[in-house]
Amino acid sequence: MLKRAKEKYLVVRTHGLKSHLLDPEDIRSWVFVESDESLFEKLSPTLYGSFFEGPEDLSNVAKVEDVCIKVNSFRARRVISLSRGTRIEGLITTFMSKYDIENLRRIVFSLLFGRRMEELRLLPVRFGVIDVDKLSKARRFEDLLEMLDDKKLKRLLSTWLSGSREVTEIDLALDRYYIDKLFSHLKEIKAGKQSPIYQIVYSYAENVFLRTLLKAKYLEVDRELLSRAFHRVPFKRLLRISDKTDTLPEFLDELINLSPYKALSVEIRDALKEVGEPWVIEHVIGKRAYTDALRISLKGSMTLAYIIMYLVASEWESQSIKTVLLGRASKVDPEVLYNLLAPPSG
Amino acid sequence: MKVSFRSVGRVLPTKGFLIRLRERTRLLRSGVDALKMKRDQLVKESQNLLPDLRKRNDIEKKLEEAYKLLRLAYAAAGPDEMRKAALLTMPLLTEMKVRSVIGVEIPEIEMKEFALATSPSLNAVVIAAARKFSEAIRELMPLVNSEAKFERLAAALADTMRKVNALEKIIIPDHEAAIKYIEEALEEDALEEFLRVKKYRQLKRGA
Repeated sequence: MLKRAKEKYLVVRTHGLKSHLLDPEDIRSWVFVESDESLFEKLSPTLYGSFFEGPEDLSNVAKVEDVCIKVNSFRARRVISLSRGTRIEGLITTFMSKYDIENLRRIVFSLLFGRRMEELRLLPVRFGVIDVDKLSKARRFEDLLEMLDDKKLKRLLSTWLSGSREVTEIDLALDRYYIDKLFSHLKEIKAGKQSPIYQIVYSYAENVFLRTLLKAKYLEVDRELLSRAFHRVPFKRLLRISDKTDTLPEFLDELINLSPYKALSVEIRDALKEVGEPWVIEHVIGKRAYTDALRISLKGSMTLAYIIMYLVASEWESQSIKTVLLGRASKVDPEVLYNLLAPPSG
Repeated sequence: MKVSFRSVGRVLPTKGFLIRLRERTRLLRSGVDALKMKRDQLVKESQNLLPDLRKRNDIEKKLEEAYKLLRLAYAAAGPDEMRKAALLTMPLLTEMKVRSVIGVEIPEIEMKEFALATSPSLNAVVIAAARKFSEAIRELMPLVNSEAKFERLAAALADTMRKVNALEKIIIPDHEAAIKYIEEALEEDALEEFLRVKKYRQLKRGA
């Protein structure tokens, strides 16, 4: 139980914020709504509604994407501001730093491939862990290295620059950096392994790792490179499977034998069988992260884990809204979208 | 007296012209034979392309699948993720050569560089769409070459057929008619000359 009053207050407030989240089943059913006008009516009372001016905005893909990411970031910022001065402030900011890391990744890609500044499109959210706006002005890797404040990131980037400069390598390294940061914050707040906050962050990091592994296997990334990049991450079972498989089907075949990953493996295998490509990976992982977070938070609804669950749920909500709206705008079969947003079967 | 034939032009009923005309007709006939050989070769070359051209349906199906995945990518990942993928995309470099097949200039496009740079941080549906497109483009390139070749061969074939028809149906018959006309005119002249000489001799004997 929480001992500190401010943390208690934060959890209670998060319960209030959580009650404003939309029901995933409602969002899912919106794929069948006939007109943009009716959908706009449904969205109007929500936080998303305040960003859309009219039904025509629902088919404006750039606006939809912008609104979804902004709503998610708005909610996270609210939680961060409420958490000021608590143990969890750093952890929440680090949790959201994935957006900053993603922007850094884009800056690295654009420098690596010699893109012009106008070609670089950064996500419109900042969490201040990395000064993305300053870094986006870098014209050369040397400038980028100089501008980076984080020593670990600096070391990571300079090692990569003096090595192969492979896209995959920096990608894996940045994922590793994010996972490590999450765990180092858990250590900072002295969270025991059995505590819900540890479990929920562990589960989220595991899903991040699993998503990277699945895509790495899909792209047939060298297993040596993978094992080097994720050396000593605390997900032993997944690492063991990764070490003995080269392709995605092989990896899924091994994964299916482990009960926590069975449903996920089946869903990706089905997509592979149907379309020939495992295109559902992100959604399957997103759903899994959401349901895992929900399950863990139920064990301690008055613990700090509830805050992380709220952030994961908000992320899944904005991902689902984005899928529904962009899917409608791209004229994707509603059945496909409906199934994509189905809750995990396992 | 001068007479005009459509494809021969003005015809002079003289022996010299007749010889030239016969020579030209012989040349035209051998030209027809050569064009017929070219026509047969063009038909053969075009027929060889048919198995490649039949692949079009399969490739169209693959492109359809790729577009379907692209739509899904827009829905599931969003245009922003597509822009990120574009940061990693290298332009498709091609080289065009022109080859001559039986005198017909055929353009040939060769893919010089087509490396699909993907990364595990890209959304799987974007990777899937990119892979499908790259697969379809790799198969599309030989088809593009075959179709361009087929189009050029077909145009050359139509041109050759037109020439053969014109030679067989108009030019050679015109030349033959002109030859016949000159032969008849010369024969008539010779007969007239013969009668004139005969009359002259009779007059000379009577006088």
